[in-house]
Parts: sequence; C-alpha cells; structure tokens
Amino acid sequence: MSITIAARGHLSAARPALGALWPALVRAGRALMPLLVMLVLLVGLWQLAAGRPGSALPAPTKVWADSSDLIIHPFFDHGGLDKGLGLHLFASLQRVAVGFALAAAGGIGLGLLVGTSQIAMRGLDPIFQVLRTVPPLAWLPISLAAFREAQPSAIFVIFITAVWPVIINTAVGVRAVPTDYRNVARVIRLRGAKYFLRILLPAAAPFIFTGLRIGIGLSWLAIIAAEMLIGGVGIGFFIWDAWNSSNISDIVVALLYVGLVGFILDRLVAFAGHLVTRGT
Amino acid sequence: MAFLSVSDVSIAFSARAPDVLSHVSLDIARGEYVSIIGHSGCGKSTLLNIVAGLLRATTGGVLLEDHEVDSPGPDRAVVFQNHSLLPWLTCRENVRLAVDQAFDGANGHPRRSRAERAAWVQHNLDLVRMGHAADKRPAEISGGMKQRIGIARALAMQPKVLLLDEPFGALDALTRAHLQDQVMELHARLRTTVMMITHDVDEAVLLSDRIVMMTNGPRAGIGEILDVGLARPRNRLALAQDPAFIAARARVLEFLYSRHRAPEPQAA
Repeated sequence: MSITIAARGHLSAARPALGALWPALVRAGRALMPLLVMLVLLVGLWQLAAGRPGSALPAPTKVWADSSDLIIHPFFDHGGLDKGLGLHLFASLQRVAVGFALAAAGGIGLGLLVGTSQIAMRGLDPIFQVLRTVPPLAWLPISLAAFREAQPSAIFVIFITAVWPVIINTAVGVRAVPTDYRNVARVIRLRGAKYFLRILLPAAAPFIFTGLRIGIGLSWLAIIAAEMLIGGVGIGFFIWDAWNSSNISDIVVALLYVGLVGFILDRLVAFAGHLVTRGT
Repeated sequence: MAFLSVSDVSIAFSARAPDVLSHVSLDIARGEYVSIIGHSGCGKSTLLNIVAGLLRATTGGVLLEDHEVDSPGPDRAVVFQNHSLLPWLTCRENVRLAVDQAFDGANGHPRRSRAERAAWVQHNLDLVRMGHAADKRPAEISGGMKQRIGIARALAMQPKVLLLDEPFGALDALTRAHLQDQVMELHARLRTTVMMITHDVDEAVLLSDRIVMMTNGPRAGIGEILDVGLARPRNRLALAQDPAFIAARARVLEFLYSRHRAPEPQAA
C-alpha cells in the first residue's frame, strides 16, 4: 500500500498533467466498475452455460472464433448481399431515417391539430387510439400490396409504427400548456403564428421530444422485423440470412450491434431534446 | 370621473353555482395604490382577473379611462403570483417579448425601433436591479429575482394600471420586505396606478393608499374600505412605532379575524 502511494506521489510530482488527471480517472473507474464487473460475470455465465460440447448456442469463445471477421471488418463489400455489418446497419439506418423523419413531421403536425382543435380531437383521436395498437408487422402485407416494392413498404412500416407516440405526446403537450403561459400571452396580446412559435411550440417541446424518443425506439424495433420479411441489404435480413445458413455466431454479433445502435439512436434523440428544450 | 372604475360586477362560474363576486363597485384614482385583502377563496384574484380582462364579469363591467375592458391587454399589465416567466427564454428575452408586443404600434403605444426597444428593456431591468442577471434563464435565479423580472416585464409595457396578484406570496419574509421597499420606491418614482391582491395585513398597510377589505364568499363583496392616510415616503422601521400605522393595522385585523373570520372548513 505504502509503495503505491509513494509511487503515485512521485508520478504527480514529476508530471503535473498526469497528477491532475488522476482524480478524473479514479472517478471514471468508479463509475464504470460495476458495469465492467457485470459484463465479466454475464459473459462468464454464458461461457459456462454454452461452453459444453453439443450446446445449441455458441459460447463467447466460439462466437469470437466464428465471427471475429464481422467485428474486425464491418465495412467489407463482396457484392450482392455479402457485405459487412456496418453496411447492413447503414442500409437499415437509412430506412429508419426516412421513415422516422416522415413520422416526426406528420406526427407533430397531426398532434398540434388534435391538441388545439376540439373537433379534430373528437374526430381523430378514437381512430388513432385503435390504429396505434396494430402491431408494426401487421402493416407490412398491406403496405406491400399498396406500394408493390420492398423499400417504400419498409419505410411505411416505420412511419406507421413511430407516428402514434409522436401524435399523442404532441397533443398532450399542446393541451398541457400551463394556464399561466396562456395568460401571459393574452396580456401581451400574442396571437396566431406568434403565439404558436413563441409559446405553444416551446411549451410543448419536452412532450414532443418524449414522443420522438419513443418513436425512434419503435422504428428500430420495426425495421429489424420488417427487413427479415422483405429481404435486401439491411441488418434484419442479415440476421434472417444467418439463421437460414445456421451461422448462429453471426446472429449473436448482429444482435449486439442492433442493441448498441438502438441505444445510440435513443441517446441522440434525447440529446437533441436536451439541446432544444434547455431548462424547460 | 374615476380613472379605473369597477361598477356593479358580479361573476358566477356556472349558471347553477352562486355568484363568486356579488355587486362589487370600486373607483380607483390615477396614481393610486389600492390593495384588495380578504381570506382565501373570497374571490379577490377573480376581481383582479376581471380587471385584467382574463375573465368576463357575468353582470356589470370595468371602465379604464372611460373605455370598457373586454379583453386582456398591455395597458393592464399583470404580475402573476408565481412569476409566470417563460422558462425557455432568458430574463431579458422575457421582458423583450412583452416590450416587442406593447410597442409594435398596434397596442396603444407608438411604435418604437429595435434599438429603442432594446434600450427600454435594459432600462426596466436596471430599474428592478436585475441588469446583471439579464441573460440568465428563470431556472437559474432565485424566487425573489424571478418576481423582480416579472415586475420589470409588467412595468416595461408602460401600463395604465399595474395589477399585482399576490406578488410576494411565495417569497420568504426578508426577500418579501426587500421587494416591498422596491415596489414602494418604483411607485413613488413612476406614479403608476396599482391594484394589488394580498393576504398580508402589514404589506397592505405599508404599501397602500386605500385598503379594500372583502367579505367571505360565496357572493363576496366589499366589506369596508380603509383610507390609510400615512405620509409618503414610508419607512417600515419608523412606521412600526407609528400610532396611525398601528391603528390602520388593527382595523384591518379586526375586520379579517373578528367580523369576517375565515369560514371553518366543513367536515366531509
């Protein structure tokens, strides 16, 4: 113990930059340590459970042996559908980007309408409440029938999955604008477009971003499932293809990537919301 | 003719419920500081909201300089009890939004240029001594500072009447005293007509020219009006020993706690 302390003291004396960094490193270590321990434990358990010969699922060591290529080279392209995971993910993300952008625009628009107009609310809300319970994949056959092509059908499935929470949260946010803010607007005679831009939209923004965050999560859920059915380049089809070729290790790696990308998408929308709604 | 005239105002929130306010008449002179005091639920905030135009009286009406009040407007600026600053705007932007509206040429005041409006915002922030924190957001400043910004926002509209709805109710005693002194100073300087809702007897006596005492609801009305008659400028320390101050205070206390005691909460 005394040796480490002496060594540390020596280090910080010799290199003040490192000395100043040390507490930050200790703090980061303390924050990450429980997660690292959990990961080691889970991977260990997995190895124990799946390590026996004849096991149905691959152990971590086998996954690494079979599929380390996928991890190390995410962007190879051997033509056709034989591409790196990065490229498959990129294709899926492109579909999500288009579908989610449409859902955000349409959802915020419809949400504002339903939130501000009692008539629109009475006319549309029951329809929304029924349609939003339809599972994403149930929309796929009808959208294939309508569009007769895989790409727009997949995008439509994302749109129709993500649009409901955006509509509903936006409408709730609009209706929840505090009376105090409305009264301020009335006293200073803010009306029409000015009221909309200066009061309504900022006041509803936290709700809108809650809807967007739920929406992006649902989009990512929907695209994986939809791609399994429609085929083409995309992480969903990659998983289905790996299953058909019995590459279970590839599936494991792909699942990890799907989880990480979903996490990053969620964080990105949360971060955008944090930037836009500052302090509210 | 009175500057602000409330004549025979009654209001009910539904056809079947009894009137909240019943036949309230009150004349306020230009530059006068009038407090409305009464127990919770007596409809004093309702009265202020009618003068502000946020609520419509069921019968009777309000005249300001002989024009009927039928909608809210910057000529009757309100300082709300819980400050009501918009949290997504900085303090300066909160005041600026009100100034941009009040001086756009369509709301009673002649149009002012961008530079004039910016200078006017700064002037009002300095007036409440908040120039230093102008670019902070409401969440970053204390309750007393928020209320000062609320006052700056209201004053910056150059209202004919300043309506204060329990402006210091949510503040601690020391901050409240400090703000009361500032409001007294501003009133002496700007000679704005003020109507203030309060349930604090000392505050009412210290600040007001007249105190309007409300009876309990439903069908609340004006029970008594007291002319405070203390010379200005007033000093809270000197007044604490002043017989006229003590007498006025006793009069209001007697009204509120002896003759019109708060109704006992009814057992369910």
